[in-house]
Amino acid sequence: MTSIRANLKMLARIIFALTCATTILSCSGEPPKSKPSEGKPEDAKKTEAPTLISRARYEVRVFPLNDVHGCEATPGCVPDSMDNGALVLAGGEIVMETMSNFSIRFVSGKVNVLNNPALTLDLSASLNKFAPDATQDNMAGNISSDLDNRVVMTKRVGNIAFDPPRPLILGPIIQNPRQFADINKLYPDIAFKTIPGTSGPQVAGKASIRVKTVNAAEKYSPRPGATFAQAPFDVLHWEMTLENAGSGSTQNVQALLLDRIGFYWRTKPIQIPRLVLDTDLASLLGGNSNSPLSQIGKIRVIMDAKEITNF
Amino acid sequence: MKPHCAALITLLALTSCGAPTKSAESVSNGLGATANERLGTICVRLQNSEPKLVAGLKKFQPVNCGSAADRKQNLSRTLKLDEPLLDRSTRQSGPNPDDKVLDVSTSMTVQLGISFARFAAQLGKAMEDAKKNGKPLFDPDKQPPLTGTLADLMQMKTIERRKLEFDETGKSFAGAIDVVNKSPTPLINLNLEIAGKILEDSVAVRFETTGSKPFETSLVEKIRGLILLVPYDNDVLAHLYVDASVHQILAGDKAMFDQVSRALGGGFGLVFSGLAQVKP
Repeated sequence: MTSIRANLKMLARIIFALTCATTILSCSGEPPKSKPSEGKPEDAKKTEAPTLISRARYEVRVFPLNDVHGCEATPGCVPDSMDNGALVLAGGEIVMETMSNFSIRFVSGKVNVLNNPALTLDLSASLNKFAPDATQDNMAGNISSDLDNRVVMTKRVGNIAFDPPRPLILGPIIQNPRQFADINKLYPDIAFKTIPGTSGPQVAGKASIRVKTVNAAEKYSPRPGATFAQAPFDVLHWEMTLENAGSGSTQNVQALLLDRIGFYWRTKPIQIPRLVLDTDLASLLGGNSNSPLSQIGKIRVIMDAKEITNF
Repeated sequence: MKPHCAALITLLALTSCGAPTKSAESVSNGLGATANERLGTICVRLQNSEPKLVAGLKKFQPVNCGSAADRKQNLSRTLKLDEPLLDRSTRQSGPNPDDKVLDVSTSMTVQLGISFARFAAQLGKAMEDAKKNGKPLFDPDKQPPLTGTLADLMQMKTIERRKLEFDETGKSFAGAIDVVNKSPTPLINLNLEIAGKILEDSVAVRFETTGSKPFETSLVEKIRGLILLVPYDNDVLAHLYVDASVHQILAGDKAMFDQVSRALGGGFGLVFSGLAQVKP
């Protein structure tokens, strides 16, 4: 009977690998038991660079957070949807690309401030400062999970290292949003610093991040003119908020630790129709206190998808 | 060790003597008409024998099985499958416009680069150890080491639902396992029926899910396939055929297919690697 069991275990292993083979996430194999050489079976386990899976064009609206008429404390509150006459500080478009390892990068995104073409703000440049190199799978070796595989954690975003790992996203494959409804966890005292030897501003600090589901079945209505969808659909709305951080911390922003990042996550097909970012403009400008825009203070950036192209 | 299992190991060992292992490249270039014939012969026999292990395999035909050996597969390139795809299509799977399933049929043949004698000996030794020490050949709960990639999020386990048993002839066997996620989030949840047959010196194993799983409980709706292990030229010819239906979670058909293709390629590579190593 033991032999039969042994046979079954072997078959189970084969079936297991085949089952892995039919999922989006390739499974990991055991490490080679001998030195790999070209053409040997061990070579099958090498990794590939992530590939582009979608490009989304977002309409961007920027509001001063002190002028959102009661919206300040409401997660994801969209000022103009409340018909409260909130000032749209800036507007424009930004294009975001999502890679097969679910990393993102902003490929363009200049917004006009106060409808003045002479006053532009390059959001993509600000947000991309620490974006991962899309040609490298630099998430490899850095990813873990928490809360029963519901929160993806990472030790690295771009050139910033986090210790302990910071939460990155929920999912990424969410089959039943109700299973994510109770998420509300604070990840305290996460030390971050620029990885030595890498380019970009040198930052170092500590932050606490709360991950919380706002609404597991929120109805999202595409913006007028959106081409990827017309009818409202359900999204999983969650957010990451920075807690116990000093105000106006440029270093936090440069480490992509914004005051609040709200995700509106469509589960099937996987899409992010809306992102809401709360931060302060001066930090986004890299601490440039000479800019007149830096006097504006806290802002809310609302990005609504207009067009999503899949590859 | 049960007599039939011992006979299987002996049979496998006798069919080959210890030849040097081959690189995948030389294997690819070395697969000629003889390999086609060898595989094709087994496939024809499989089609005509009971139990019908090839029943319902959409694109599986003996002629395809034989010619599969012509497709030059290099294990180092299995992360991206181009050649072995037999068919793909997308269908509606529910009332919502976004309820779609991607059906793929694919196959791959490689030589494992391991002598059949060594393959059989390793398998035999591992099974002997299992018998003497009560150590399982493969621990169903054992997971690959964490690599810090998204793949780590898929920590699965297998559950023996029905023990593998040989029939009275000692040449056919059947069992059942479940493959599920370790975490409460489902991702994968498959109930698999296993059936196998020893054909002279070769082994054929069929696996098939029972029923279809909705997206909420499993990313893979259903899967059905066949594994053939055939001694050939002092080596092991491994042929895998799979019909898989995967819930479409990316909007673009091409994006979805590319991801499934990459995953299939990686998974096939794992299967071949596992077979070549045999021992845990």
